[in-house]
Amino acid sequence: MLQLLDYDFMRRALLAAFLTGLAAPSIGTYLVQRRLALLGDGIGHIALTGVALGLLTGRAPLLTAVLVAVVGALVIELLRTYTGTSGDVALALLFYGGIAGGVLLVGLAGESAASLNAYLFGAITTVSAGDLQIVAGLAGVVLLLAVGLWPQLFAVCQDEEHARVSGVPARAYGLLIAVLAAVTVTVSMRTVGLLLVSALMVVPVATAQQLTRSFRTTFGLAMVLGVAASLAGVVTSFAANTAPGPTIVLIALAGFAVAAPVGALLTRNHEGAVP
Amino acid sequence: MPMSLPTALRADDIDVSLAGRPVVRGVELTVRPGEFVTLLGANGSGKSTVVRACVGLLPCESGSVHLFDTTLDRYDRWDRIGFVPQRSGAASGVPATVSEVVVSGRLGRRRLFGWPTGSDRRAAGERLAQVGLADRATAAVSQLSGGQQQRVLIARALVGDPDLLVMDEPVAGVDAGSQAALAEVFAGLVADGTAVLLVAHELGPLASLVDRVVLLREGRVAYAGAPTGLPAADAGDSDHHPHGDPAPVRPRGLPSQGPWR
Repeated sequence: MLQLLDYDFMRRALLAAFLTGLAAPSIGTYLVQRRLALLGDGIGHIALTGVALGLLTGRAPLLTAVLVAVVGALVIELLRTYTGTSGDVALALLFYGGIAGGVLLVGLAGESAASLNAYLFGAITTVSAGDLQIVAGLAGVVLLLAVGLWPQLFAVCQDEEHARVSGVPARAYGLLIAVLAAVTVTVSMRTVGLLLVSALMVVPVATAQQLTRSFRTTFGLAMVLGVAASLAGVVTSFAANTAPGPTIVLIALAGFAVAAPVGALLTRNHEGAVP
Repeated sequence: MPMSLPTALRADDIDVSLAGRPVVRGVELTVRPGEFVTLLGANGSGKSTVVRACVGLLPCESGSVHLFDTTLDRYDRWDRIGFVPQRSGAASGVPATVSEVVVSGRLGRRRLFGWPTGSDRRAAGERLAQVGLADRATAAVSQLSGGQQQRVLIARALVGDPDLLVMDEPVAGVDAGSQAALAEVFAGLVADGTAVLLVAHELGPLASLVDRVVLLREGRVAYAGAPTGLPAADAGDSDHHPHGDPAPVRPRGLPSQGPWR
């Protein structure tokens, strides 16, 4: 099995998988805490427009995707904050606008929608050294902020009003979370793809919280599970010749399927002990 | 009263509108250090709106709010304020322990990138003991009863040793025994000089602590003074609306679960 490390493209793929497996659940935990689990998916759709814009203008799709996704994430957050649009409606707007914009722009670029496939479902084995540098840089920023600012981010996601009365600029942190989610989505674009990126942000968190009681262990365990699923997914896809993105997501979901009944048992026993 | 006495909270003639509708009109409210003031009123009388405006969660259309004699928009000593928002629970989408939630109440004292320290956790432990939840520190908040979650939120407000404690219906769902214990905690705080502003729809179990009552009716102050002078109909449970109209002045839409509103 170690022979796969002989290939440059596999070493890059594993490194990219490791980085996204670590970064995606770290910001995903805050999204789940805010009950915005699908935000990643909505941003993924918006990023599609960014990818198409890159193809149309001949720039690196990864960079245009980051920019467009960040703008989309800011728009959704501002919509929620200032117009009272509910989270799910704001997400729906992103979904439809992103897909429509992406397909339209790709058509204008003279390419078929099929050329979006690599971005929709990931193409981790085609990650170039340059891609990897961008991915590493962005993942590093996401991790630094998601881990370093956890007391603030936790407070804002747990109880925004209380955080504001504690002097925490909650709206700024809300925007920061949206931006970090957008960056994470584009980082994960090459690993699991835009359609499945939400899975890597949310499924490890959902799995972890079956087994945990505290935020900190949920946060840490989700990152461990994210890395495990990503690496196992890349290795499995190499061995079984399956598509890497879906393989990663299905392995993550298998983890949830195992953890859910265990968690239910734990909870039942725990509740029995509550006076 | 002479204006030279220091105040913890002072609202002067404030008007607050929700979604363009005037909900609070011309409300005056003062809380001094060591004073326990209860803001009383039926559902929909605007009492939550008043406190939310007082802590800066809602803008005042006119009038002004001072916290510790500093206008609200210049105020930055949020570590001096303890706040118990009106919530249906303390849980969110991700598990959190009781201790983690309480420790987050010390955030006003922490710097950016500063993680909780041992003294934060010790303070949380002490406050949890005060609200009778010392043995539940490592339990998941979501597994506590509604009344216990409410006590967690009170501990979170106390953990930063506030000089002004603002509580919006904090003892809703708290059992009688715990209410008595909380009354003792609040009495101790007031004796130490903490200013307390409590929102309630009846005087209830904390009645003996109350120095002054401000009664709201349809967004206006209907009575302000000692609890003994309160109109009899308003001293007890005033959950009914005084005029039989179901809701002439609606309260804010309750933020059921969403922490974002």
